[in-house]
Amino acid sequence: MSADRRTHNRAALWLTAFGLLAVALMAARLLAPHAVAVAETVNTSDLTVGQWWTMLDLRCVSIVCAVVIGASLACSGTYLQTLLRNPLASPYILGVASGAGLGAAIARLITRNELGGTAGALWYVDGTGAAIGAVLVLLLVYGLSQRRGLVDPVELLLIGVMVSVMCGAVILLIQHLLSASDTDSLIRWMMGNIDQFTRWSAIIAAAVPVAIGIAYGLRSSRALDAAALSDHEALSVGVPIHTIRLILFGLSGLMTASAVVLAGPIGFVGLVAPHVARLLVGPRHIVLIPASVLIGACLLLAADLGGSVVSPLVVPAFGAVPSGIITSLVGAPIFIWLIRRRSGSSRPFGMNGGGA
Amino acid sequence: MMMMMMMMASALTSTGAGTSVLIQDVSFAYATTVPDGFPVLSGITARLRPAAVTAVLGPNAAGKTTLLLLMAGLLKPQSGRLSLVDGSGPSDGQAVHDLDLSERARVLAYVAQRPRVDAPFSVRQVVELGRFATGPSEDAVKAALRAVEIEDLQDRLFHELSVGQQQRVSLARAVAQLDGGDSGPVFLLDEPMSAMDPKHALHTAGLLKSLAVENGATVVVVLHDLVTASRVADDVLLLNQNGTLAGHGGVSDMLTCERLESVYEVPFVRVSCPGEAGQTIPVPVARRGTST
Repeated sequence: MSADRRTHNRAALWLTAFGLLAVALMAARLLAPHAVAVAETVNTSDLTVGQWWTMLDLRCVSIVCAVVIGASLACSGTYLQTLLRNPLASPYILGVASGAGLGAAIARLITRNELGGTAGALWYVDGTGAAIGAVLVLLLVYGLSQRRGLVDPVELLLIGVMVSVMCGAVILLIQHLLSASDTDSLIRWMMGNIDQFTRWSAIIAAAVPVAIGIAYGLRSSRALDAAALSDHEALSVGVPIHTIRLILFGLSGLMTASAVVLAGPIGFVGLVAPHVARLLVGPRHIVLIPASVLIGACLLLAADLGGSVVSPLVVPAFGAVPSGIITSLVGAPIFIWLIRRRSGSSRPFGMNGGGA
Repeated sequence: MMMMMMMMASALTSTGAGTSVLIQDVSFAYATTVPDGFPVLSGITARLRPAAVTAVLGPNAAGKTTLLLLMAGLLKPQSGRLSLVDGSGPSDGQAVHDLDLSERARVLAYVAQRPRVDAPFSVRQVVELGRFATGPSEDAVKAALRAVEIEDLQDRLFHELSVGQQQRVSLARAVAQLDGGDSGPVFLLDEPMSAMDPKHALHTAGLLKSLAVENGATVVVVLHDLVTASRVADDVLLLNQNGTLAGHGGVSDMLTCERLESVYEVPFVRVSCPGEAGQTIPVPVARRGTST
């Protein structure tokens, strides 16, 4: 009981801490001095009221995008790691993000003639393609790594990485086929870039599946906890594990697609956020999901702040650096640290790994 | 032994009549590349009674675990039927595979041979997972931890325990799951003591007995060890190597040397066990002329 209460208190403390951090990052992004162009910084007190509102609106777009993207990647990473019993599963590594990217690229290629070359600006074209691509790749990777109903964890990751590479190659091929103006926006998008000029309708459309995904996970949190048991034992305690796995796979795919539509494939958030959350608040999904979502949002807010405010101020020649580059630059070392940490103990990140 | 059973009192607070497991002409084959699959079990018929411990025995690959999974409704037989009969309730006599998951989870608990928890849960949290269908209950969790004597382990992480300790935690999870159920509980346990030391194996044997005697539970245990089987089982269901039924009945009728020799294809002798009044235990002996 006392141990239970201690765990609860600790989880509540961490959730509050990350909530406050997220608010602080948002405030910093909202109120930071504005780098207009290379080597030219505007003090926000010099702006007219109209310019102020426009700038605040653009910054709000960045902030909300970052929160939606961070939350969706972290949440789908949490579900994939739990349901595949694999601590290394994430939307990026399993190729789901590349699948979404490929889907969006194909959608642009197909629609560019009908829409007179403006297809790239239409979020629902990207969105439909990305959602189909993400879910198809997830099913493909999961199906290919299954043998007699068992999933080999190493095979799953290797197949995911290979499918990811394949999707990347096809995206390059499409870039090769597209006109120069389309290619430029596609390349920028592939870097994982939060665009200040994203339309609110697109943000809301992306936020809906993310909200549904988080809500469904919280509602099924006890079932997700019991998914740690073997499938047979989970079924015998009354968890409809196959149904839950199918639904949450679908939602993970849609959440990843939402993030990819908003800002292209952004790596490592979906891998790192669930791990850090599990280390801090434990494996119970009722606290793990909110913690993971908050950490994911903080990571993306920090990456956006670093890329669009700090980096232009510190190194003016860089201009605004896409968030995807920042998360990969920072995320990869963190990941290597986690791997090194894992070799110290016999079990990776407190999870056993193993077939699903 | 009897002392141990008395001391444990009752681990469950369930009421209601006992549940029989009815197995009617069940055959099963796993789907493989062979057209009709590889037959694992064929033509098994038995009625496993409540308030008794039934040991499922047989050589390796005779289909013991498969039979347990079929009873748990986790596999569906190609032919025949498995059902739970308790003389009351809407699910009475319905095929166990077709029962609603949460309805089934309130009557029937299954513990796999190799315990597995793929997340850093504490022992207590693992036991709480058993309450998924039956609803959170602090009392049930406490009682289960006490019954299996793992109260001292409750704050340890499951994956840091030895396999024998993990087996005890899994058993506690099953006990917590069926506490307070409204019909006679059915425990399906796959070699629950295979990695336990003698002290804990003995205690667990006593616990299984008390679940049957005190709570009227139907306890079905897959076992390899004939000594444990002689000690814990009231009934024995014996499978042949080819997955047919070699016999089902009282432990003294089933564990005769002749029957065991025909099933396991090695000679057996019975030796007396001084500590337990009147108890003799079948022991396999090396055939003359063969080396051990």
